[in-house]
Amino acid sequence: MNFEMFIYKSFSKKYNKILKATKDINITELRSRVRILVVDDEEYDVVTLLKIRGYNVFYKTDIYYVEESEPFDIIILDIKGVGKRFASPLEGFGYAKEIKLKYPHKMVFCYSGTSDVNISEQLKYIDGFIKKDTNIDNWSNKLDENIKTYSDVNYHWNIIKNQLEKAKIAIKDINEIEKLYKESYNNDEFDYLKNSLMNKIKDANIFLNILQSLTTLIKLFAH
Amino acid sequence: MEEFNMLPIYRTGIGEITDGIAIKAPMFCKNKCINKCESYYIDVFNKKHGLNTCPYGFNTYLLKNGTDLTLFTGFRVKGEYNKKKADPKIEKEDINPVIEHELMDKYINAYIKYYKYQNEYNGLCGFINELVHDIRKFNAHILYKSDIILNKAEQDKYKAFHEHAKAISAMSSYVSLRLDAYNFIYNQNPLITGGKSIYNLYKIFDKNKRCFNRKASESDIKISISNNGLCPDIKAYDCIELVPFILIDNGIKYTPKGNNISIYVEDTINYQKVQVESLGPKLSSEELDQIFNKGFRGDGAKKLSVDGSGIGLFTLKNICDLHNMDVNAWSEPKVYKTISGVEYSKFIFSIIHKKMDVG
Repeated sequence: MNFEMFIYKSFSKKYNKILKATKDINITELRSRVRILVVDDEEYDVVTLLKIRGYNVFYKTDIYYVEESEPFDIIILDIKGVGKRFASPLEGFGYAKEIKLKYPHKMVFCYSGTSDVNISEQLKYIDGFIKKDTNIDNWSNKLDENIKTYSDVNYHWNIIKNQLEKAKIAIKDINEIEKLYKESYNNDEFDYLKNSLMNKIKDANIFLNILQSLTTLIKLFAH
Repeated sequence: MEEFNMLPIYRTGIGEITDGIAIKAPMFCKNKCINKCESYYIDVFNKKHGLNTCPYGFNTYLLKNGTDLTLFTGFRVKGEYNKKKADPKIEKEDINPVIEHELMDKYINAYIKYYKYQNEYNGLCGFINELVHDIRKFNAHILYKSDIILNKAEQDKYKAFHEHAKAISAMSSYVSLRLDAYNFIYNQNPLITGGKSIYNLYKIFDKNKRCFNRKASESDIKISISNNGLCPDIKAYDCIELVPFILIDNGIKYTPKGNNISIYVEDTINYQKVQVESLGPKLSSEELDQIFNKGFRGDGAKKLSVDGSGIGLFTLKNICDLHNMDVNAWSEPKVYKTISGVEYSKFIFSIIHKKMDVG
């Protein structure tokens, strides 16, 4: 390689890294990449307003299976009038809890005009609550905060770490997996992590969960 | 549903006896009820409403309240229970006195009354929850429709529409905050769940000022807001929006007509401070010490014909404490005006948010 080419490649690498860093924290870009599902039997105007602000938002009037939330990153469910099929006295909140249980990496919120004490005491099982007549600026602030959290590798790692601890994986192994997890994310490189996981984790769900969370993150920042 | 039972109650389904407030079930009954007495209880549930005696000599009372059945058990009514069978089964530790028939009737009537009031209370709570839900739902429709108008109607071409849409948006926000204030008192969880979001103190005060413009103009009160330059964002729970709401609402309520409320937001290296100044009923230093207590209203405020339950400033203090913010109130000793026997002086509320708490 000649000198000019060497200089070009060095600067090019640095320039791309800086570009990537700028792009990574650009909230407008993230808004368009994070998929948000709003489930409400009546309200559509808020979806219109969020789309105007550049959010990648989808809308359903109801949800019949928890698996319907799989393609989305952030799920926001109305409480009243949603999830009739689930036949839960907590209505949409029943679904919200189930989604969070099945897909712990997804961010799940409920929104409602009601502040029923029975539901509010259980809000700790999901990621938050938005009151129904929240103005659009506050919607935007909340969503942006949560999009940034969702795009943070540490958020996903903490969920995985929780699962590994529950599965009684040794601390030494957890620390090693953490190192490989974050390296895989930084380098878009899976092999070392995959091989390490296969030796340490017998639970297929946890194994897949770890890889899936990484692909989610990488997809968010893919150029 | 909560209960108010003076007598022990047999719980079908789990086969247990729970103690009453005045009379505790004897240990003998608690131990026996699952096995030996179950068939007796099944039999009693098919009987008429009223007093019976169990095979072990204790009294039971079946209460039929509409479709609900309640079985009081393990107690002794003078002249009704079997003394020979029951008394030897009472242990030293049992709190199970023999009671008069009249007292038993009182206990049962108290239970019926409490049950009735509980049902009415639950019904009312349910109604209020539904009402609040519907108000918020329709308020959301109004708010978002006005926001869509603001987005779609070009400001220059449709200036009047823009102004109306802004006014609608402001009024809708007022309704929302009014409901939040109610919510925070009775169930604050939804306003603090999900962690903190980004808020700007100057912006939320400014927004509230616009929400209250109409109400202020009805009393010919001018609200002004200024700052000393930049006012960076802070992280706060959703309930932070109630802070300007309560302060401005209070200011309008107690400021005499034709006067001003001024809001000043100051940003320094170490803190952000909001000061709300107005005229208000003069408070003594003793009254100032109590101003944030629940239910407190100063003597001057009580003389005015304005509604007030002393909840607003108590709520304000709670919200500030939640955010580690200092809130202070000061009433100047000098009297500026006396109207209908009420002395008015300068009143200043200040809220300080220390910057080490940011983030």
